Amino acid sequence: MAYGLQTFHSTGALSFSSADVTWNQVAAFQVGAGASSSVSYPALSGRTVEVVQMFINPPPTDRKALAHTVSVSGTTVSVSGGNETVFILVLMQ
Amino acid sequence: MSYGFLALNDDNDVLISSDTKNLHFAGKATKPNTAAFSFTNHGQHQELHYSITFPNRTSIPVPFFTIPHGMVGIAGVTGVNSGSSSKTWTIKIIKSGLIQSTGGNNDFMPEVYVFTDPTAIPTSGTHGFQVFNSDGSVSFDSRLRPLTVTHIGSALQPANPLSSSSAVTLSGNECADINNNAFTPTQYNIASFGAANDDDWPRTGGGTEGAFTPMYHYNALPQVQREISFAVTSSNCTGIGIYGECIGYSESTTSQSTYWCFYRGGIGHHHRSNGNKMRVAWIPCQSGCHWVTSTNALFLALFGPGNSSASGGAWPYTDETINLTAQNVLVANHSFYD
Repeated sequence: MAYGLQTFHSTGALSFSSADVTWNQVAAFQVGAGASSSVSYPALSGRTVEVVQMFINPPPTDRKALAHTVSVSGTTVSVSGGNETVFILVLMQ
Repeated sequence: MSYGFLALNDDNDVLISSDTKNLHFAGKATKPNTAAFSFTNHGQHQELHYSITFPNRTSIPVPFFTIPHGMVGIAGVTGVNSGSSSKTWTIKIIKSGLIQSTGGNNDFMPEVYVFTDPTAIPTSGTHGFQVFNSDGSVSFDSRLRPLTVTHIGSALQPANPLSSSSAVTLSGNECADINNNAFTPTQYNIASFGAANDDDWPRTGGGTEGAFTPMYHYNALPQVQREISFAVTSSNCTGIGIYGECIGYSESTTSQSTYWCFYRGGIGHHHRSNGNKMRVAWIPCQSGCHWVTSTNALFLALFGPGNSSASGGAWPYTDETINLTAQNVLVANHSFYD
């Protein structure tokens, strides 16, 4: 490559390059059952944001499990509702 | 930014930033020898429990699973479980159908690749490149293998796992057909990866990608419950029937049986002649039936024990969808981490 960034393992193998595409973790946090959270992350400004939600200590699959409602407004990620503890992963590009 | 480190790619997307953390490869989770639970009706499912141990309890695993060639069915992550004190995480995945075993190995069981923040991954070596956040924690470590998410898709199941043509006639008499397979899911959608004509599941990667071998992070949050009711009425006359009336002892019985099935969402490969797409569909998780029988018994149409009723079985939640919104599917190349 003529310009950019590359990182290599000690073996010499290329591990990461500015020709790659990725989504970075801005934040990862737990929200309890029935709890809510609203946090502003300045790093999200002007970026494409995706939020992934995963159950922590999940209920059996034969039981109704309400996920939290997740919304992104500007740089603020809000999480509310739900009857299970969830792990929230905020990604940006 | 006034200080720190920021690396962007040609599209101005963030690769490394001292304001964020890169997820790094923590290892492949240990496969189970057998399914933790098997559900044998309506197309079946198996629940698989994988495990991985971290050096701390503060980091949370982000699992990606493969869909091996030959694996029939669809799958999703139902969640991760750390127990109360252990640093070992259990990663729970459900998939429809049965695992096919050959040679004593579960060749068609998904592999699970686990990513987490760098603080939970042991490092070795004295050279490389690290980026730190303002709190002093490591954001990026070139001695590890950072996650490159190549694609994000949108997956939304159809509201009903069943088509009208898949409805069958079951007995209304006290759940007599409870061992039916009438709720085997038949409906699916195709996941969207954004660009026009780009719904084929991703086959091209980024700069450090070789042959693209996709693995997926998808959480089985969506749920749906569907039920179908059937009723049957019978009447007996001990005596003489005249013009439809019973001269003697009459008994009229109405029984209604409500069969139901509860599903979780999942994704799978959808092989077609015009491309390979990602199927977004349902995994049957539990089923049951509830019945109510009412009896009206009279003597000479006037006297007798009158009305009575009985019920039994498991009652459904209700006919509803739960968490049915489009979920993200994160896609990465697992051969890069093998």
